[in-house]
Amino acid sequence: MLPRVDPTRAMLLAAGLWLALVAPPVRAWLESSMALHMLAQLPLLAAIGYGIGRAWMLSRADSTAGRVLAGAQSFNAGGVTGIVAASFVMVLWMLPRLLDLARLDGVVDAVKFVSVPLAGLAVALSWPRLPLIARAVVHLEVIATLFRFGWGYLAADQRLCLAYLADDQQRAGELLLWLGALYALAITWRPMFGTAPGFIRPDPPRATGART
Amino acid sequence: MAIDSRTMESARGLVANRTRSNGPDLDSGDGASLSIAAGRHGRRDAWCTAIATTLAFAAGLAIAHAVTDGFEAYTLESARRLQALRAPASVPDLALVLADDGRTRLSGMPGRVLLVDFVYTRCPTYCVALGSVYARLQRRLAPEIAAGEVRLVSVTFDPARDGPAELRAYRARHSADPAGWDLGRPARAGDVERWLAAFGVVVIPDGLGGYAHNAAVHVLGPDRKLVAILDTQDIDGIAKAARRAAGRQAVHVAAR
Repeated sequence: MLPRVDPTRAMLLAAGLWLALVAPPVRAWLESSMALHMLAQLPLLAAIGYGIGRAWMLSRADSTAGRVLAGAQSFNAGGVTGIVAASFVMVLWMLPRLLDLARLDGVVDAVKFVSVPLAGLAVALSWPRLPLIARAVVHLEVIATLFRFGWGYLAADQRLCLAYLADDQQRAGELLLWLGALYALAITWRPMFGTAPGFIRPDPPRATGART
Repeated sequence: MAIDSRTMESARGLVANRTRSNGPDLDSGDGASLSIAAGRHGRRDAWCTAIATTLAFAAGLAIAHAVTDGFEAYTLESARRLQALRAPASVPDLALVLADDGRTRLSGMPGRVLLVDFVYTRCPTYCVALGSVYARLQRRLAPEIAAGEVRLVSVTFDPARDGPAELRAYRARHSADPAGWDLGRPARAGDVERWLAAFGVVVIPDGLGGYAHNAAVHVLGPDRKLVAILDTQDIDGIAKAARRAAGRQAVHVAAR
């Protein structure tokens, strides 16, 4: 989980990171390779939204932000809506056609730069409300998706993305498989081996920070 | 992080950690228990959520359907091939400087059907294959070429290096007979992008000093619509598509 930070600082940090990613040289660099595009840019954009969502949830209930949040969450009982929407967004942006379009078409890329952080935000708002079983299903689906895409890109005998070279595609596929394996390991570690070796903490203790 | 909702819920006299708690009780977000415990608001939330989730799901499916052409084209390459088959689009009337003689436009090129491919003559891999494919097509479609029905066109996307001499040398490497095989380069440097965009070809540096591109044979009908995009190794398919494009249109014209 994220370290506890001041919500305002978290927002500023997220905004700064977003602007940095949008900056043409960084954007061009992260989109120059399929592996960087999928495994660096997309996760960072989602993390930005996630951070904003976490900061948003620290807002006072009687503030405008808090009321807007409560209003939004009344459409998100159990976190279902947010997880469904976020799943569509993330899976679609991993398709070769949309990776290509994001790289080749500025308008499509702009849509990506807005929708992926929104997906991260949706996860932040939804995850804590998600029932345990649903969380497990989501974890499984994430692992399966990483493996599916990883295997698909690795096993393809021709280039699937017109904007990326074949060896780049192979590397992206391989890294997706590794990521899926690491994700699975991280998720199963606690139930299987007890307390985590530091890198996964149990759910954040109740009433951290937020006394505002 | 859970404070806002919890204070609100307790203000409503509800069981805080059974409703909207974001805290560690993992079953707390369960929609069922939520609607039971939270009463009126919870039930309203459950309804709102049911509607919102349905909408999110429908919107997600609709978008996925739209961006994959009905779950059929997951890559840009299959998308452009599918479009050529389903809804052939007119190609802009682009200008070309021919290696043999002067300047022309797509509309002014001889041949009712044009088979267009994109090459660069330094290419060590794909374009060599493309060159031999065109030589074979030249022989296979000799009657159609002689009748003015079909014409082969190779366009270089590297006009800075591929002048008329290089293009002619490229053709000569593959075929002794220049008949029916035109080569050309986009008139101005900026035209290369327009040519590539018109056909949906993407050229990227291959990191070895050359280029990688989605090599294919593009079939342009008599109205200069892109009616088929075929793999370069599919000689039979290309010949068939060329004859069909020439023939079908002839019937169409005759019927008018």
